[in-house]
This record gives sequence, C-alpha cells and structure tokens, in this order.
Amino acid sequence: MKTEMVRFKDSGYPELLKEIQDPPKTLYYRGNLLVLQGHTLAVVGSRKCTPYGLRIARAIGKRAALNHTVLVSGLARGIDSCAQKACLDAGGTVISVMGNGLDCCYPKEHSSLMAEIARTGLLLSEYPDGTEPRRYMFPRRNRIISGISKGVVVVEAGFHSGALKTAEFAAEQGRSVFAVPGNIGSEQSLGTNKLIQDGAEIVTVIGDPFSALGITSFDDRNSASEQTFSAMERKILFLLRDRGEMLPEDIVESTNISPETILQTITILELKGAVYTSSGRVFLNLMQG
Amino acid sequence: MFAEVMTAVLHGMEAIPVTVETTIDKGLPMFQIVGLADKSVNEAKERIRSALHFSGLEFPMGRITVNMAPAGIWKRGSHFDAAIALSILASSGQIEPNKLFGCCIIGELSLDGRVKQVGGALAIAASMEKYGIKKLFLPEDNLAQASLLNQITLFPASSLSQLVLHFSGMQKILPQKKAYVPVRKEIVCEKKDFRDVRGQETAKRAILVAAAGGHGIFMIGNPSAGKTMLAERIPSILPPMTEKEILRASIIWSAAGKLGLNQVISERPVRAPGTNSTAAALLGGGLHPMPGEISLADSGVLFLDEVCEFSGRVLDSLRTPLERKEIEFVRYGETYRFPARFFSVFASNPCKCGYYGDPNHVCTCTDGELAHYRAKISGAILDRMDITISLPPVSYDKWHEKPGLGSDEMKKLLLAARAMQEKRFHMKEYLNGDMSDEELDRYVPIEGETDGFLRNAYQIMGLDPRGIQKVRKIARTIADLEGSDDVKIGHFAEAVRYREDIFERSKRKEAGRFEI
Repeated sequence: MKTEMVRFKDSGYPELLKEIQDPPKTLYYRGNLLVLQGHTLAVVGSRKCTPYGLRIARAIGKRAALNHTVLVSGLARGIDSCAQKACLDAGGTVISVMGNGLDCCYPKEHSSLMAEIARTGLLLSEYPDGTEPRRYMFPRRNRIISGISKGVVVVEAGFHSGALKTAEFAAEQGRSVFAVPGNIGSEQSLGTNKLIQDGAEIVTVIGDPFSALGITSFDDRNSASEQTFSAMERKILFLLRDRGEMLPEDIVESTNISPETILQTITILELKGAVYTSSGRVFLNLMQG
Repeated sequence: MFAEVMTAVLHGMEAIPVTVETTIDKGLPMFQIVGLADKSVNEAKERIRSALHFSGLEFPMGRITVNMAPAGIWKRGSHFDAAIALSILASSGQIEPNKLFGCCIIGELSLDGRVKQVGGALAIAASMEKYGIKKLFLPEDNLAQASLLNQITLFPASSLSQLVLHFSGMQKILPQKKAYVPVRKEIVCEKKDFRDVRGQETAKRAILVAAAGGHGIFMIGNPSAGKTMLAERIPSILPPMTEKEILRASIIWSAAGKLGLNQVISERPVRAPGTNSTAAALLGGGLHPMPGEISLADSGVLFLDEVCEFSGRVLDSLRTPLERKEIEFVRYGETYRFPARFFSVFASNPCKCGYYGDPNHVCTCTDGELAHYRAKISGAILDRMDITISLPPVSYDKWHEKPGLGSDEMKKLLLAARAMQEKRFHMKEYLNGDMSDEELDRYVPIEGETDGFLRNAYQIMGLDPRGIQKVRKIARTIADLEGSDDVKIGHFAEAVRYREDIFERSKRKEAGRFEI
C-alpha cells in the first residue's frame, strides 16, 4: 500500500488535531482518512502489563467495536496491540499512530496487525517513509494519539510508563482522561491509580468511558447470565466473581474438588463464553456494564 | 603353528566377532599386531609379555604375527588381551588350538596375569548371543551384567593361568551366572514422594496424565514453583522396568562404558543434562559413536531444565530421536544406531528473569528479551511436547499447607491406565502418546457430541489440526485413568487444558453460545 500525505491546510486533516499545541504540519497515512470523522477513543497502557490489563484491554477493544467507536492506539506490545486486535476481531475500526515511517513496521511481530489496520482502518505518522523508529519519537507520537481522540483510557500503567505521557498530553489538550484502577499491591497499576488520585475519571465498568463521552452503550444480549450452568460451573463462576481472576490451582484449593474436574469445567465454561483464560489464569468474561 | 581365537570388537552398541590369528616363524624375535589395531590394542603386547611370565608360561622367541580379522574394521579397546595371549600360547603349542573352537574370549590382562574387567562386556555378550555363539569367557567382575542373557553360557575367568588350565584340559572352569546388585544411587534419584510437593495439585495431575500415556510434558514456571522437585519424583510413580527394558538399558550403559562393578540398570534412569551440554554429549556420537544422554535415559526420564538455555541447534536435533525413539550416526559409511525411548520432561522459566506473570515480582525483561525468549520456547519444543502446563508460584501459605496427592495413589492410577493400554496395543512399551493417526481414528473416534465439542474447541480456542490430534491422544489417556473404555466429552475438556497456548500466540475468537 502506498503512503499518502495530508497537510495541515488540506481538507482531510483531522479537526481535533488542529486544536492542539504544536500539531504536525504534515501527516502521512495509509488507509481510509475518513475514519477520523467518527467517535474516536484512545486506549493506551504499558508494554509490560499483567493478564488483568490484557483482559481489560480486550474488553474495551471489543466494546469499542460494538459501539461503533474508532479505537486509537500505538502499535506497541502489551495493552495497545491487545486492544487493537480485540477491536479488529470484533469487526471494529482501528487507527494506529506510529512513531516511525509507515513503510517500516515496529515492532516487527505486529506486521500482520499493521497490515490489517491499514486495510480496514487508518495508519498515521508525522514522519515520512523511511524514518526508522527512534526513542524520542514515541513520546512525540503520543500527543497525536490523544490529539485525534475525544478521550483517552489508560488501562494499566506502571510508575514510569509512557502511557502516562499520553494522559498528560490529553489533559493539556482538554480531552477526557479515564484510568482503570488496579490492586494496591500491583506495581503495574501504580501509574493508573495515581492518575485517578490526580483527577482522572475512574473506570468501574467497561462501559464508563463510552457513556461519559455520550456514546450509546451496547445492550449485551449475549450476557453470560442468560445461559444455564451446572452446579459445578456455578461454583466456579461465583468464586471468580469474588476474586476476579484465579489460577486453576487456586480453584482446586478453594473448592477441594479434584484437578481433573476443575479443568474440565473451565473448558466448558470457556466454550460457553462465561470465562476467559490467559497465561494460565481464568477470568470472568467481562461483558457487563 | 597357525592358531585362531575368537573375540569381539564393540561397534556402537553392537559387537562384531573378531578372529585373532597368530603365526610364529623362525627369525629374530618380533611381535606385530595387524588388522587396524589402535594404540590401546598395541599396548597389549607389554601386558601379555608380563602376564605370561608371571603365570609361569613361556613367551615364544620368534617372529610373532597376530592378525585381527576382519582386517578392515578398526579394533579399539583393551579387552583383546586375553584372546591374543591365548592365541599366542596356542600357536606356540603351549595349549591345544582346537580346544578354543567355538569360544569367544574377552578380558584385559594385568601385568601379573589377572583378568581385569572390561567396559562394554554386556554389549559384547548380547551381540555374541545374537550371532549364535554359545560360549563366552569373560572377566569375573563382568559376570553379573552378562548374566542378564539366557542363550549364552558364561565362563568367568580371574586369571590367565585359570584360562590355560581350562584350555589344556587340566582344570575346567565351570559355567556360572551371578546376580546383579541394585544400581548405585547417583545414577537414579532417590525415591522421592509427590506428597512432599505442596500447592501444585494441578501440576501433579498433568504429570500423572503425561506419564501414564507417554506424553512429553513441558512445564513453565517461576523459579520457586518447584519444577525440579516435580521432575525428580516422576520415577516414583512409574512401573518397574520390564526385563526387556533392563536388558536394553543395561546394554546401552555397557556400550557407553558406564556400567560399574556387578551393576545393571534396574531402576529407571533420570538424566538431567546441563544447559551447556554439547550436541555429542546430549545426543551421542563422536568419532567412534557412543550413546548420549538421550540413550542413557532410555526406559527412563530425560529432564531438560531451563530448556531455553540450550543451544537452538542442539534442541532442533532432538526432533528426530523424539519421533523415532532412536538415533542414528553414520561414520565412514557405517551406520550406528542407539535406542532413545525416554519420557521427556522439559521445563522453563516464562522469561529470562523468570518473573513474567508473577504478581509478587516485577519482570525486568525488556521487550526484546521477552520476544526472543518466547521465540525459543516455541517451534521445535512446543510442537513435540503433548502437554504444556504453567506452574503457579507457590506462596508461603500454600507451601505450609497439608500435603496433597502422594506417589502411591498416583502410581496405582498410572498402573491401571497402563494395563488398559497394554490390553489395547498388546505391547507393554507402546503407549497412547505413540499412536499413529490411524490408531487414533480407531481408538479415539470423533463422532456425535465429541465432534461438536472439538469443532468448537478448534474455532474458539485456536487449536490447529495437530493440536486436535494431541488432544485426542491425551483424552484417551485421561479416559484410561478413569477406567473408561469410551472417551467422553469430559475427557476431551480436560485434555484441551493441556494444550493451552500460554504465550497467546494463536488468534482466538470470542466464544459464542455453546450448548452441550
């Protein structure tokens, strides 16, 4: 695909971006520039995230697709790419803002993701083709992520995460900043929790950022609560509801049921869509709210 | 006079009969050994000369020529001494040549005429038995090992004089057998019990399933999770070795020169080679091929801890032996084959620092390090392992708790599952993990509700066709553990958990409604 160019004065240049301090004079893009006209929500977070963060990122990505909201993010490992993948899988539209020329793919393992975004959504960069990624470009790129979005959701960020810079830009640009809380003990949530302390809006259910931005919330007809479950399945679901995420080993211990029965039930619950497994952990499928 | 004595040369794991031909002519005293004999064989000259003197026998003065036939095969080792000595004695008329007919003789000679033990005695004896040779004269100290064989008569010799008295008809050596002593503890880990492991019940279950059906297992966990503890307890739940396994394993160790005095391999070996093992050490080989760790682990367990730290090339070359259960080397056009029927247990950290995914520690790996490490785990290894599990870190509370499943219970279940497999395949060593695609279709058919289940698992959980085949094998083992002839959905449901893509590499779609 060929990289196109749009200048500040051109009609395709995103209006939202014109408002920020120091907007890029030229934007290079691949894909459909018109997607910038839709409701845009940025979802960012740290590269080194926990399974909890990934799970939230996935849920938000999917919800964005269902709410016809355009998801904006970078192509980074961790939260960013996870949210993007989930959005695409659910049939949504993604804008990815890169810190390098659009002919280079960084990180390399996301090349197919990048290609799919270019095909169905939009790739953006303020750097021309041939620009290799450099460290200092990424914080600069973050101002564009928040710049083209109505709001920014920080899913999970440690104390030094680059996602906090994006939140900072968003605040300067007058965008809404949302942060997902995490456990006190979790190092990877230190940043997000601090954001909430400093005034960011707290996300208590997945739908919060959407309803705050006036986007009609999705009525989940396939809510897991409508399915019928066996006694064993319900036992596990209740445990998960209380604890949030569990290791199969923890479930064995809490219920005193044999490992084989627990493992079987987890699979059945996963196929029913009631739970989700990741990195060996079991989570409730978050589609409420 | 021309004299002929039979001995043997070790060629990998097998031995080839060697004929020691001797002639003594008039002329200046000379002693020459021909027939591609290497240094260790040539040094026999000094040992023989001295041994003969000490035994009160005459070292012939003359041109002694010894030829070791077949002349085109390399002769290595020190076990030819006795045969060469007897050959010289026969050629010089000190014993009668025809008395040696049909007897194979091995043994190293000490300077004072004793017959010393040799490496590879059992391997040699087993091959001679195959060749139909009926009588083997061997060092007393090697008798116990060779006693594993039933079709060859063993004559233990402790000194050259004894041999001479036998072959001159003056005092016969009686054929004997000797019982072996249990193998020393360093070869096999002390019998430890799974009861000692706390807070890893799901891991124990996975290991039970893996061991019961012969499915390679890959454990991923933090440094404190207890991967080594689990691995070293596996022999405690395995069935005792069959006679066939004892013989095969002992021959391998004999060929490697690792069988000690009066020892055989009667306990399943656990080999845990280190991460800087060379390919030759791990797989075997070398200029004159010797068995490597994978063959020493035959009938036992091969435990590769920190499998990602092994060289990529070395890991890659494990593919073939893992599939074929043997390994082959070719040197100068000759093929050497060593068995490699081991139960694989691989273990790894989730990342370089070991703490990815651990809620109590921060992972200090950079993105590049994470990606690089995961790339190593994938591919060659994951594909070959049927069962993959992730071990949770064990908190202090768990560690302190009551013990869970113990080795006795696990062994009972395993033996029952093995009995079902023996009935199915009519072979003791063939397990569910070995099944071919046709056997899978026969013993684990996909029909009715299991078809619907697997179809969903395929779509929703990102399983590929290869993964499905493995799930079927594992499900068959789970059904066996339950004593069930049919493989039911619940068995598949558990089996699917062992194919979990811990590093999320496959794309998963959201689950839809699934009615069972």
